[in-house]
Amino acid sequence: MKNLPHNEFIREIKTVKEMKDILGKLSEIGAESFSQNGSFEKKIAAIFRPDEADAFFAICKEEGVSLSNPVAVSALVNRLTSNLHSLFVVKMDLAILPTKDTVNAICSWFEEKLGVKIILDVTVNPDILAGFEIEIGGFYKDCTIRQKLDSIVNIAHE
Amino acid sequence: MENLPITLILSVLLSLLVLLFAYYLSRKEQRLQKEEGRIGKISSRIKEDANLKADEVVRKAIDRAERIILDAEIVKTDFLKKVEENLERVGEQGVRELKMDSEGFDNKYKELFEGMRAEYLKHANSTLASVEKIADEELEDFRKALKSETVESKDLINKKVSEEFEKTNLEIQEYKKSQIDNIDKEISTLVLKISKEVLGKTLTSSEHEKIIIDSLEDAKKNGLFAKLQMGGITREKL
Repeated sequence: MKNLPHNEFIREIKTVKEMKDILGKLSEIGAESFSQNGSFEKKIAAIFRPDEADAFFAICKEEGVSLSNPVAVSALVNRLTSNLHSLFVVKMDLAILPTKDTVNAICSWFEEKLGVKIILDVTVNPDILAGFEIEIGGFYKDCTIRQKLDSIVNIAHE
Repeated sequence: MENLPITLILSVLLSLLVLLFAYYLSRKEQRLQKEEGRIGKISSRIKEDANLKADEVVRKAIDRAERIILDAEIVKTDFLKKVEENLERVGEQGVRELKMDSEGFDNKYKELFEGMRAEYLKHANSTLASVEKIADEELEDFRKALKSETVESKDLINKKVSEEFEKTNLEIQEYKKSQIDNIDKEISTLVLKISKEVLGKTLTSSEHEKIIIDSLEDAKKNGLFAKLQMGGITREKL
């Protein structure tokens, strides 16, 4: 399956929550594509936020999908859904609820350093103090300050 | 036959003499036995006194040792409070400084931790050394006191006191060792607790972000993501 370009539509989805939200909206659009009542474009604009709608229209244009062709729209929705499901979900435990800037910084790091677009699944755990616990592709790593402090103390006791 | 009466008289006299001597011996033996009994009683009393004295000395020694240990516990509790206050101040300053340099965090924290731990242990050791000193002084005092005791009781008391003191000293040594171990654990927990509190309170969002990104770099350097790519995750797939 051809991967969709990382346009704004995909790029702006950073967290599991956002992904679920978009998947729900795509599902609605998929269902709407089979009903022929009223303007499809208006329905899309009503379902998405303005920036999401713009990104969706842009991708339709890039992919040559006509909004008056429900089958083509439905196929695009399916591809987008499938592509979203194929994104790497990176589970991270963080000490604080990350700001939007922090989420962006983490996602950008993965894109720039590893060339992967990820979706963050964040759990807040103040006990870790700082840093993160990460679970990705079946691997787990404790990169927390708590772990560092604990190991320093443990070494001191050996 | 003429000499028969004389012989009889002599025989009777001799028998009487023998009987008298036997009686004398019997009386003498009775006197000796009586004397022996009296001496035995005196000896028992002396031993009993010596035992009582020894028990008294040992009881006092044990009471004193227990008081020393109790005093040390009180000193330790007060000391821990003071150290906690100091550590909080020193720790806060130290953590503030080291959090600004996440690259050298491990080493800097280790230095900070070891510094605080060494300082704490130094005080703890000196407190416990005073316990030992007091115990030694007590032993010396008892030894001096024993010099004035009677010859009969001295050896017995000396033996008992030495045994008990040896036992008490061993207990004090064990106590000291266990206290040092406990203190070492307490200091670590304390330093860790303070570090966590300070870090939890003072890190800003941007500092959290910096630590996350730095840790991602470290994880990359340590090959975490290489393993992922080896597992088939490639940028093409995404």
